[in-house]
Amino acid sequence: MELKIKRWLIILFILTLMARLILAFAIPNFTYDSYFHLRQVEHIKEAGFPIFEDELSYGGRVLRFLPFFHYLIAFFSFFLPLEIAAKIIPNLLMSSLTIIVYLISYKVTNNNAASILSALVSGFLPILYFTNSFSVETLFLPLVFLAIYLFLNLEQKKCQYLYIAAFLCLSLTTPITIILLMGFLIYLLLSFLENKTLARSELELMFFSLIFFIWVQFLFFKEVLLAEGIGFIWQNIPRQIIQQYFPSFSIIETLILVSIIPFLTGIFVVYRSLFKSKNETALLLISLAISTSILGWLRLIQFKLSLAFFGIILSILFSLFYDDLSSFISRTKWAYLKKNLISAAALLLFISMIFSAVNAALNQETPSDKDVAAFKWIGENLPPEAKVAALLEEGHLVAYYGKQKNVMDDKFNLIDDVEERFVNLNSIFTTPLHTYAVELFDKYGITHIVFTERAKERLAASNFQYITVDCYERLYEENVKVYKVKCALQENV
Amino acid sequence: MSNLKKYIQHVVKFQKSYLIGLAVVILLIPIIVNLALGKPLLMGSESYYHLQQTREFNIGNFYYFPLLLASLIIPPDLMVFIPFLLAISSILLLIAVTKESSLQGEFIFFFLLFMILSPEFIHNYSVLSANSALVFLAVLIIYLISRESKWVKIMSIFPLIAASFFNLFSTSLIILALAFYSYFTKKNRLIALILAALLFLSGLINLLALNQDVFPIEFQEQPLITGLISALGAVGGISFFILLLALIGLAVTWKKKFFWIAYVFLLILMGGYLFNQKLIFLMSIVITFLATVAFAFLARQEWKLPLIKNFTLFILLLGILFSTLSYLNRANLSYPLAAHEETLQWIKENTLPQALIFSSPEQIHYINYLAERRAFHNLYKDKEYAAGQYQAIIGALQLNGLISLLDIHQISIIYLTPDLKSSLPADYGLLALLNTENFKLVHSYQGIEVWFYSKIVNEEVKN
Repeated sequence: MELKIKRWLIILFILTLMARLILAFAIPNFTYDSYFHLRQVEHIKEAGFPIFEDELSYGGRVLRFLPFFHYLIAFFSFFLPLEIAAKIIPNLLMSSLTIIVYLISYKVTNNNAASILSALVSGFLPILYFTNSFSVETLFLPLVFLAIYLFLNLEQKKCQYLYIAAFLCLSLTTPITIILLMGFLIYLLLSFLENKTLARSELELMFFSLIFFIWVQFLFFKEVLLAEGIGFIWQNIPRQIIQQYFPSFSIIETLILVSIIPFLTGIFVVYRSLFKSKNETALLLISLAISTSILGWLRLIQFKLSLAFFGIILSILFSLFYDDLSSFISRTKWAYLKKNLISAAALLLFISMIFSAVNAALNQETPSDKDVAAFKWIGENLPPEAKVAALLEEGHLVAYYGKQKNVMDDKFNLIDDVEERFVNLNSIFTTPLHTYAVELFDKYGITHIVFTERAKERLAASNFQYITVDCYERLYEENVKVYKVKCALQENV
Repeated sequence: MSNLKKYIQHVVKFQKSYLIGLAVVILLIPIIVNLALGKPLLMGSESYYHLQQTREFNIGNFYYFPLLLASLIIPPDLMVFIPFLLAISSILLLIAVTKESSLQGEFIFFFLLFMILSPEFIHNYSVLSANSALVFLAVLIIYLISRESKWVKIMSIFPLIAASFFNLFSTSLIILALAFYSYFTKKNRLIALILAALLFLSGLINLLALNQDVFPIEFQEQPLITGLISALGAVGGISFFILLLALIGLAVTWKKKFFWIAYVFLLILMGGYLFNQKLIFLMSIVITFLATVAFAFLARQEWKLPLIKNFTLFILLLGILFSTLSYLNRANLSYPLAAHEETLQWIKENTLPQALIFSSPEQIHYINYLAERRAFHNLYKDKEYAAGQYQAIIGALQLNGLISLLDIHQISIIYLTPDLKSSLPADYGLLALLNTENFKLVHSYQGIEVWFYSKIVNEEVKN
């Protein structure tokens, strides 16, 4: 790689990282689901193991998940405070996508300018601006594209071993790695249809990847498979909220999140690659795009993740478009414009994406400082045997800051009565009937209830509707309302 | 790699010892676990169904005579060694038969290895299963036909006739197998055809005279996919890795001579499986065969990445072993538990012989054999009607409704297992209605409850 290109790449990486870190630290706290992962990392630091038998979640349950991401962050948290590491490392990993996307784009086009532009797109793609999300996806996305890059360079022995290492890490990070395997399958199918013979090494690595992935998933999720059968794929998400995880497809939202220029250029490139130029590398990328679309449509992966993956593919395919465009311009009488083309393209892309990216970051759902303070207060002041009812998304906050048992959170696997529990938890927040509420408190052993600012916003209400002085003791005097439940239903003798 | 080849050659040379040793260890594990937990050694609803048939021995089920003899000599718990011996005998016979075939030693070894490690094999050879007897008889027939002596060949008539008493579907499969055998062999063609014809005749007589079932009796109900794959909670099931290998095996053998027989059997068995899940064991034999073809293919191929080859084959073997260990790990949860035996024994000693017991369908055969009582589901041949009435009883919301159903069917005892209780709502319905004056909890042990229903109180109230 030329020094000049390296310099530009480093600048791009630093710019991306700076933008992400500024936003990450400007927005207080983490997204709601991040607190589950924070708790796991904290436990690994203390005990060396993740929490697979969780006493706090749902009042006590078994958890099954892949822990590689948590171990990785736990390692860094020995050098940095956990909450700092949890903001820096994921954003560092996501910023590394610029380098990986550059490498893949260069492999596809052999064009430095096009590849730098692709890296720029991936650096400011709005859908990737979940800067405050401390989640497995922040490792998965760079790692899967690294694996793809290594797969494209299998002729080098070093890349073969690195691919195996990357894939091992992926298999231990998240089951969503199935996107890659599905992509390989579609790639095989498309190659068969195009009468293209794949390299033996590619076939062998694909087969190995499939076998290893399945084996690891069976090892970790044995109980989940036994308990839920084939239904485990849909993660036991209650019907009532499945729409949140798998919303209906909206073209406008997609255009905003993946940015209109990469989207349109991506369609153009797919058309050309499939029906005209038959670029082999582009075929693999297109297969991966199809894979993520199919899995998203089948509701096997969340819409947000599917779109993120798709967006990165589009950013790589943009390099093909730019490469074609610059070749085309060279052959026209406006060839003199070519030297300004990259600057113009970079500016246009940056302007079209930066505002959406910042907006996406600012729209992340994070708890307010007041809510966090309330949960911290709960952790310091409530007895250990307390059980706290909070909104579904606040369940992890109850466990992490509050260090108390929650009624429900968004880890639904291996929970038998998940739909009934979801309905009942909602009822606690919406029912006007005191007796019904107390019945539910008795049923789930709830000792305390919390009405946060988030709850006020979501429910357009300022408090629980059944609060009375006799049965509920207000414990926390700030904006957030924390009550101790004093009443119980008496059985008729 | 040459070391690995040496090991494989050694193992193939002594395959009889290794395979038998492995089968003994694997099949002993559930027995030892049951012994340690104080559970009955004989597991599975099907075992108790067959034992009950020996108690109800008559001209209509005369083919249970060998089992009846065995049950007179062997205590019920030790009957678990019958399928154990059938497994060992079947493996020995199969090794003897395939020794003279064109199949390579390694192929036979891996086929038998995968079969022994298969959860479906372990399930069928840990219980008194019709499948275990059927496979033994089928392999014995092939063994006898393939001997040199004419008189030994003629002896194959006896296992042949015995094999026709299971069900029409398996009889048809054996006829098909004999037809294929006669097609491929010149030496024994005539005898194979004669035997096929005899079997056909025997099957016809069984159908007309004994009203034989087309398919084997099913003892569990599971969704199709869950019932197929052991990792998803199948009662037996096939390893997911074996299924994956079988798919590769199908691709590898596509359009190759001889293998079309496997496709024919697979198609027939897959079609049959859609109607009857008990056929999964026979289907697993064909699937394992195809999986072995795939494994041999992968092992023999020169890979561009030899390290990946070794790693992949190792992971495949680990995956197959994982299914085995995972299945054995849940063998201790198989019914009947010690609590079932205790409670049903209590019922036998403390209730009238004509009492009718209401419980979940999975408990029928345990109730029949261990408690020596009739179960609700025994009453009606129409399974759909019985299922409907069962749902009506467990779903009853009003006391009057429940009582009238119990009276109609003359149910006097309700036998509640933890599984049944956990499927019912705690606050209303049957469980709540049991806490009324018509019902009395008379016995409880480790979560299993026996409730008496008394009509007398109801009549007093009516009067």
